Amino acid sequence: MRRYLLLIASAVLAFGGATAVAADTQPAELFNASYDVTRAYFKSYNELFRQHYAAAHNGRKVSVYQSHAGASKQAMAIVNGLMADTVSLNQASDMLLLSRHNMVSKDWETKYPNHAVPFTSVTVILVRKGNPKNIHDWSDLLRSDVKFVMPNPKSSGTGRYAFLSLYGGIRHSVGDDATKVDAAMKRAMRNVPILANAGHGATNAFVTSQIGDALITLENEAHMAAEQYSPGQFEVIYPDYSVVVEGPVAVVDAVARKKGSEALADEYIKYMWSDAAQELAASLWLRPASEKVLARYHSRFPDIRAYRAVDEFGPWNRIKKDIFSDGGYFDQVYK
Amino acid sequence: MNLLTKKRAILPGLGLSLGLSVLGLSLMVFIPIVVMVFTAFEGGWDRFVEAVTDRRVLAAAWFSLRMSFYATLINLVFGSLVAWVLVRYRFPGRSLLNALVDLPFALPTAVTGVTLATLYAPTGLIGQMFAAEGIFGRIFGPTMIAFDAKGVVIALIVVTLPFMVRAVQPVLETLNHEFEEAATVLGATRGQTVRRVILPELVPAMIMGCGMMFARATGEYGSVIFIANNIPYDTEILPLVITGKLDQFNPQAASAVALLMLMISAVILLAVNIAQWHFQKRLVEAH
Repeated sequence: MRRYLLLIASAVLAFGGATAVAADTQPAELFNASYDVTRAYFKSYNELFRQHYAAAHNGRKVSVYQSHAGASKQAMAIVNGLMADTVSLNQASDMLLLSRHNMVSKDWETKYPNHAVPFTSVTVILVRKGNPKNIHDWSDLLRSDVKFVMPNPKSSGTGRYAFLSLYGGIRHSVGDDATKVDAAMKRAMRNVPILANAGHGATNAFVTSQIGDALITLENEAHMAAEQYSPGQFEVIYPDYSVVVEGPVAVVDAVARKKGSEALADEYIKYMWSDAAQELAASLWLRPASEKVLARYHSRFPDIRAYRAVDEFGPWNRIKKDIFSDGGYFDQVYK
Repeated sequence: MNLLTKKRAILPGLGLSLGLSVLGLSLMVFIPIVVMVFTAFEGGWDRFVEAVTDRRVLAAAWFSLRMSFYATLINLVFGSLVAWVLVRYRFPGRSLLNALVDLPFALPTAVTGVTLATLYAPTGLIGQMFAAEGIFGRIFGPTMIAFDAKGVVIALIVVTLPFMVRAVQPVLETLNHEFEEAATVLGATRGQTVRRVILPELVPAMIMGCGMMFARATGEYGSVIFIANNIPYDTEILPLVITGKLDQFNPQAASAVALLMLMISAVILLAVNIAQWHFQKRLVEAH
């Protein structure tokens, strides 16, 4: 028995020693949780960051693990124990949930430049080649001969932005008369044959299954569809008045502290503002936060009157409550 | 019978195996359900009632029940037919067909959903036959299958088919040919034999299959979500309403609706058990 104990003890010691020695040569690990339509960006960004990190830390390797799902699902998962060191969401309201549960610090918005938003997007309309239904603005989606697809605001952040843009755009063109706006919104939503489960699902229904005449989605997703999934088949229409999509990023402090990865996580987030990362965003049709890079890619990003959702509809917790919660405005439009 | 149970009881290992079973069931089934019930009633009875009597929830429940009913009805016929073919005929590829039946169990439901949505979309291999330019579209007028209630029924048919086949198949296998031969010798027509001799034996299994299919169909999410068009008050399934509530960070309402779904399933399973017991009794009496 004694011999066995000794054996086990020495094995444990040897193993412990080995890991202590290996700690510096072993790749550092980072887990980033993000929303659905950022796969392309983070796949390239992780590679970019790996190279940057190795160059800055004597060739030390870092493995970045990725998880993608609906933004609200990710926020909920982190609250429920998903061990993500960093998080990238597409709505401030989901970040508020994390800060309320002390997962990210209360001052997350001021920790990084541009309200902690490394790149933005706007809501646009994707139409078929040649724009056969002559769709140029939100008000065209009210016409009875138009059918359009969008993601479900109940389950998708992109869907919420799509609905807000439509609502804001119609309010802008119809005027302040609430009954007229409501009637117009009811008419618009009757033209929606599919509320897809997530942002990319809506793109699939429109692009692959050829459902509807238009798709409301984010600028980057629309350009990916028009220029990469099926080039030459679609056109991106910029409506006159559209919501800015702000995807905040943060270190999940509660997790990083536990894992001891605070410095690495902070570097991972900070590097998103580097020129290389900003150019990567621009190349994927995400509007870079850096003025300098944005100016260089100006031809890709037409100027439109874009507004922040909070300026038009009030703070995010009110938007979620008044518009998207059960019995909220979205539900009333369908009543 | 009594002798048998007594013998079982003196088998060694009862305490350990029973303990493990109860522990496992508690951890994985019982405790989660208790937690769900508690969450559903967080904030009292009124909040629960409010959540489950919401018009949108009721519309989704009604839609889920209707679609599940159609799928069950179709599989009652189609699934029994498949079982019949597999048991009664010998043909090349029979074991392959037999294995294929289980495929919907093995496939991730999301894969089933995406595949069906692609196939039955207006641009898909099957869907285009029903589009304006397709063969069926020209005869019957264009119709949507994917992104419509029809698509939901198709997804449910696929994911629930194995339940029916696997419920009926073993009973059919043990069904003695001699009964049928006797019926024929006594002058029964083939139709009478099926109605009077074969069907009564199969009915309990069919009822069980239908119950399991229906319960599974009302809760199915993964495959349906991709092929449905998810319009509120129209083609929204109940599980989608639940995930919608979770996305709004409202676990209480989500649990309340989940409990409603559980109660629906429980009622169905209870009804099935009663019906089965009733038929079994008749069968035993007839024997």
